[in-house]
Amino acid sequence: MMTNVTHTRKPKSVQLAVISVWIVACLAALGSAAEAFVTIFGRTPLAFGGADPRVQLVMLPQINQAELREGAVGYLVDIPLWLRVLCATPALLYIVMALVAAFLIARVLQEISAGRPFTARVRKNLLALSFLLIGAGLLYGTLDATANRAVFEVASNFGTEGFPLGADYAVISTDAPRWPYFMITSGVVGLALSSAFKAGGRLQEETDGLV
Amino acid sequence: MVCHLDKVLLQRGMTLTELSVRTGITMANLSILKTNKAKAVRFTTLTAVCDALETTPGELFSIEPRT
Repeated sequence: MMTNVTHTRKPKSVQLAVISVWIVACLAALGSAAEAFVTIFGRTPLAFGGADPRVQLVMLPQINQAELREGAVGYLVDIPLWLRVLCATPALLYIVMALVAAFLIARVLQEISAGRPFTARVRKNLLALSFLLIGAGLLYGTLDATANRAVFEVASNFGTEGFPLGADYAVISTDAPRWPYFMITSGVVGLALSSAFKAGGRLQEETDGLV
Repeated sequence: MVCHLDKVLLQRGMTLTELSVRTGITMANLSILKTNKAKAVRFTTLTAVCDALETTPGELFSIEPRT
């Protein structure tokens, strides 16, 4: 029997879900922040006991293999700064995306837990989340592909610039551009969900006041 | 459309709680009906209420001009 009483879900489970979402998002953001730090500054965030914090070129996300010629010395920090920043842009984008997505998911969960699953606010947040995942996913792939291409172009530029990557490398190979297909697909699924919620909202309006 | 459930209940000497128990309709829904806040009524609801109160829809509802 339909009633106009709003049901409150178990708040503890929703609180747990919201906390879990934020924990995962923060961990993902931290991981990406660490990757961005290493990429831009060419060093590990922490180095103890006088260890050399500089990392090898192979730590660049777009590089698959980088072997120095015998006797040569080279580090990630030796490549141009603009190239390091470009290679770090996917990770920087991921930080923003993870935190914004967590914010939107938390708002949706809180509305649903308050017994208001089909409000316009929930639908708008779901749509925003979907477009964020699709847009950020496409941008991430584009940035990574651009960085990948830039690394290739710089590495191939032997001209009069000596060692273009700052050292004498015998072998360098790049990874294929990373496209976050799962993120983009999740966004598409989110769009379908928001359509379902829209239909649910319409149904709720029609049955509101029905005894 | 105006619902005269309160008048019929008074005539039958029945409370809203009793009606809820007899019909299986929640107090919340009966209250919505009684206070003229309902936007639509199911036939099953109407039948259950009329059976319990031994009345007709004509006695329960009337149409009054908009003020």
